[in-house]
Amino acid sequence: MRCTVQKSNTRRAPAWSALQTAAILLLCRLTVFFCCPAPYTAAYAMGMLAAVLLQAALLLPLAKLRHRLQIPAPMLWIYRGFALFLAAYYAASGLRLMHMLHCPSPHLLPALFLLTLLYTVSRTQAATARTAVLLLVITAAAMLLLPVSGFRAAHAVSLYLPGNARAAFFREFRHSGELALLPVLLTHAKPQEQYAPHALTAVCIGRAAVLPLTVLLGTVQNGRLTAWEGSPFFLLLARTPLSDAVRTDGFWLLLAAGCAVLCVTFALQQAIPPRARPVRAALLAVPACAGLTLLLSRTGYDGTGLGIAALLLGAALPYACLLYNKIKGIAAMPRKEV
Amino acid sequence: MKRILICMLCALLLTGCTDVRTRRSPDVLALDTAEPTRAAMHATQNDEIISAGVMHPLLFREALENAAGAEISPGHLSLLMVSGNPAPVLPELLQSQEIAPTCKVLYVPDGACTLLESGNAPETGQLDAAVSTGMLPLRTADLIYGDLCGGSGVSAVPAWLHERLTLMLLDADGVQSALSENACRGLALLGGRFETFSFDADGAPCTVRSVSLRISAAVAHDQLCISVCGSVRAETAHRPAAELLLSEMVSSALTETAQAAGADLLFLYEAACKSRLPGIRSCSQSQWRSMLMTAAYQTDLRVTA
Repeated sequence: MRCTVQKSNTRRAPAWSALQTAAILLLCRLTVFFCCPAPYTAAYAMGMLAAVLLQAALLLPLAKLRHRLQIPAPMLWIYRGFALFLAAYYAASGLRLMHMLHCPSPHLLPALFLLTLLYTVSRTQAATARTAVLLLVITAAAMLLLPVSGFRAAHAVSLYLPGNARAAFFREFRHSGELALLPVLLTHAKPQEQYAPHALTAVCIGRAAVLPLTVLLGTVQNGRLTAWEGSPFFLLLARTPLSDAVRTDGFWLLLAAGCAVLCVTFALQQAIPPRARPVRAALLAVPACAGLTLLLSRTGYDGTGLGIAALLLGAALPYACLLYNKIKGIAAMPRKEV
Repeated sequence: MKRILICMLCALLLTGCTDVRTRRSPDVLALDTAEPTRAAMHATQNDEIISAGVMHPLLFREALENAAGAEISPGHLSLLMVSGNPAPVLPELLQSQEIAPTCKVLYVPDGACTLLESGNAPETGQLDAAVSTGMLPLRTADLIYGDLCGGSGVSAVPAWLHERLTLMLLDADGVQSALSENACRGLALLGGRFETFSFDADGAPCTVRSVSLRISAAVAHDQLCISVCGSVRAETAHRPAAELLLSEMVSSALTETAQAAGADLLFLYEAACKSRLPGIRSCSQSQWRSMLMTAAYQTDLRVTA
C-alpha cells in the first residue's frame, strides 16, 4: 500500500514502523476492552470474532491500494474532529474504569490525568509510538500469565452459559473507533509500501486472536458471575492471583490507566494540525477534550454510532479521497512500484 | 530521570501505601447480621481482637476504625465469619470490594463476633485443610455469590456447627439445612479441588489419585435426568468397596443438594444448556429449581487402579 496525505500536512508526521502502528491501534482497543462492563460469555466471544472478521474483510483491501493518498483539507478537518471525539471517548472510558474499581483519591486522579495529558500531548508522535510498543509488550507479557495462574479454577462447562452474540457483535463495532484513524496512520509507516500491509495484518490478527480468547478464558474463569457490576476483566484478575499472597490488581490498574492516557494522547495528537506549536496546541486540545469527556460522562454515552462511523471513515476515506482527487483533477503523486 | 521519580512518587501517594505501620489489616472478620448488628476483627499486626456495634454490616469498616483508632484495610482478609443471613450481605460486600472474591466464608448460626472474641473460632487453616483433604468443597465468596445469582439461586456455605465444619445450603431467605459428611465429600470429589482424598474402604485405606467424572443432563419421558458417570483412579485393596463408597458420596451430594433443595452447585444448568434441553435457556431460577427437585439422578462410577 502507498498512501500519504498532502505534503503540506505532513511536515511533522513521524515515520512509524509496522509494529508501532499496530501497537497503538491494538492498545486503543485493549483500553476500551478493559473498561467494558459486559459480562464474559462464549456468545460474547463469538459475536466479537464475527465483527472482527467483518472489519478485517473491509479493511484489508486497503493494503492493496496502489495510489498515493491525498486527503483534501475539508476531509482532514472531519478526521480531526473525529479524533478529538475519540480522545474524549477514551478519557470517559478510563474515568469510568477508575470509578468502577473504587480508586482512591477520586478527585485527585482526574487532575493528575489532565496534567499528564498536557505533558504527553505536547511530546512528539514518535514518542507516543515508542511508548505504545513498550506498553503492548508489558500487556502481552502480563496477559500470558493469566491462563497459567488461573488454570485450576476454570469451569469449561461455563462456555455453555446463554449469552447474546448479536449484542456482542454490535458492541465490537461501538468499541472500534480507532479504525477511523487507520488511513492517515498508515501514511506514517516507513517505508509505506512495505510496512503498512504488515501493520494492517498485525492489527487484524491481534484483534481476532487475543480478545476473543481472553473473553473465553474469562468465561471459564468467572463462571456464573455474569451479574457482576464492574469490569469483568478485573474480576478475572481478582479471581486468578498468582498465589494467595501475590495479587496483580494494582499493576493492572496502573497499566490500564497508562493505556488510557496513551490512547487519549494519540487521538489528540491526530486531532492537532501538524503545523501547530506543540505546547499551545496541547493547551487548547486537552481542555477541549476534558469538556467533551465531561459531557460524555454526564450523558452516559456508550459509543453507539461511533464504531460504525469509524469503520466507514476508516474503510471508505482512502477511496473517497481518490474519487475526490479524480473529480477535482488533482494529479496523483508519482507512483512507485512495490 | 527526574520525571520518572516524580511519576513514581505520585503513584506511591495515590495508591495509599504510605501508612502501613498505623493501619490494621484483619485476617478474620466476624459479622453479626442479626440485631444487634456487630462486627469484630482479628488484627494480624498485634494479635488483638477489635469489636464494635454497627448500623449496617456494610458499615463495619467505619465502626471498627473508630473502635481501633486506626485505618482498617481488609485487603488481606482470608476468612469472613457471618451469623444471621449471609445472602444479602455477601453480594454487597463483594460489589463494594470490601472483601476479595476469593475470600473464604464461614457461616456461624449465631454470635460470630462472640465466637471470635472468645477465641473459640475455627482457624483459617482448618477450613483450608478440610478443602485440601477433600472433606469440604472449595466455597469462596465469589462461588457462593455466583450460585445465588446463577443456577437455581441456592448456594452452599461452609458452616461451623456443633464444633465441626460442614456445609449448609443457602438461598435468598437465609441458611437452610446442613449436609451430611458423605454429601460434603461427594461435592468435594466432584469439585476436584482437593490435594489428597482418602477414606476407609472396608478396613483398607483408599486414596484417590485423579477423578474423571462427567455430568450430563437429558430429558426422558418428560422428566429431567441428571447422570454422573466416569472413572476415579484410586489406590485400594478393596476396589468394590471403594466403588460403592464413592458412588454413595456422589449420590448423597446429588440427592441432598439438587433433589432435596433444588440446589445447583455442580453447574447442572450449564450441563443442561450443553445438552440443549428444550426451553432451558429461557428457564427462570425458580423453574430450574423445581425441575431439579423432580429430576431423576443416576450415578455410574468406576474405580480404576
